[in-house]
Amino acid sequence: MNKGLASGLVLLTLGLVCGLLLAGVNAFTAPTILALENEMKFNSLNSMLEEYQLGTTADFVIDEEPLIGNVNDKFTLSDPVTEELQYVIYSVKARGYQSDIVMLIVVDSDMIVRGYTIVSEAETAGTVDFIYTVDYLMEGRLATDVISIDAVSGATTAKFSLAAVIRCFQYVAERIPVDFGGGV
Amino acid sequence: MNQKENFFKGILKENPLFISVLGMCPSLAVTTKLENAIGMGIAVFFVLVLSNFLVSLLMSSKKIRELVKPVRIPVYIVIIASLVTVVEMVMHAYLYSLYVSLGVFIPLIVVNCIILGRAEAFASSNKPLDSVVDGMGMAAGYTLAIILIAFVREILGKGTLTIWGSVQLDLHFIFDFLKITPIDMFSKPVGAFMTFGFLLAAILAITNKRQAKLAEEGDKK
Repeated sequence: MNKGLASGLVLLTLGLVCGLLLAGVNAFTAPTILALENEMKFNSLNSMLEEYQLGTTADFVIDEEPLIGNVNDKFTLSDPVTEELQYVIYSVKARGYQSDIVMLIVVDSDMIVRGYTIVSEAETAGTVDFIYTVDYLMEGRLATDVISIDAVSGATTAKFSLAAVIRCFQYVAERIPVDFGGGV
Repeated sequence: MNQKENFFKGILKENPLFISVLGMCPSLAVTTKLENAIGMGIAVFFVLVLSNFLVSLLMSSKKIRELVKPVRIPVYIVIIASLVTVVEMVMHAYLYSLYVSLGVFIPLIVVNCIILGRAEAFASSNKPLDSVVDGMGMAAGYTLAIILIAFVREILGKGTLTIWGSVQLDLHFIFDFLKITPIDMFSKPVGAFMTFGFLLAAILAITNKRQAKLAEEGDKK
């Protein structure tokens, strides 16, 4: 057999063996990772509602609707008695410098942004702390009114992370007409 | 070389960080906290020992060695990348805060010169047991080196010492006694370079002095 072909086959075999090993490890770590992410999301949801004085998760009937794309989850919070829609919480992600930045954004039934929080990021420690404290000028505004967010500026070293947060708001603004009927 | 010498050469004589000056980038980036250094050290230990073992095992058969030789670098990369991915997935699932702290530097272990260097320079031409001992020594040397850097940086930069999770020593009383505040610069990249530079200079000064003393004793004899 051609020597180069034989070497290639060795490499291919090794790749397949390693692929199987990784599939095996993934099979038992993936459910734990998913459970961890869901727990984090739920905790963030609860603390965000409390932070913006919108109640707690126990005060509402919560329906979760997994979505595809950057806005990957939608929680509908309704009044348990009247069943009226109170808030919609979007779980949205955007690519930062080296990780996905995951946010929760609360929009009320009038499409007004009532609160937001950064759930997770794995950017270089210490370089992006400020993205948690920047005022994104979105609270109390119409969710589709993302023009004001252009006024937010940040340090150039962390601009990718900052831009990711801004993109999260933009993704939600794009999603709003689908959920609220497009009459904006 | 016996196994003891084989092990200890990685810690002192051929320390990958302070003597060979390899794997600098992640070493300086993650040493903001002692916990990060310990976590990175454990990850590198796992990858280095296993990659040395697997490369050595693969190369121990003459027939396979001939076939692997032309594609040996991709072969090493496939082995190392698989091990690193295992570490990353396990860390993501069970050590989430450490996973977040180390960030991009976990996948970057794949291209860490120490691991690739030991696979090529040692494991490919030695027996599996020797390669495992070499990997353990080199990983221990690397871990001790980054722990030393993190120890200095965290105390001077933050006035704390985070050993693991919530186990943290608050050393602010030392700064209060000296009537100064922690020097934030040591938590930043410039502090990493300065700490590394001072430690490297101190280690070289001690080594040179020792060598000069040994040479002097040799001359007298």
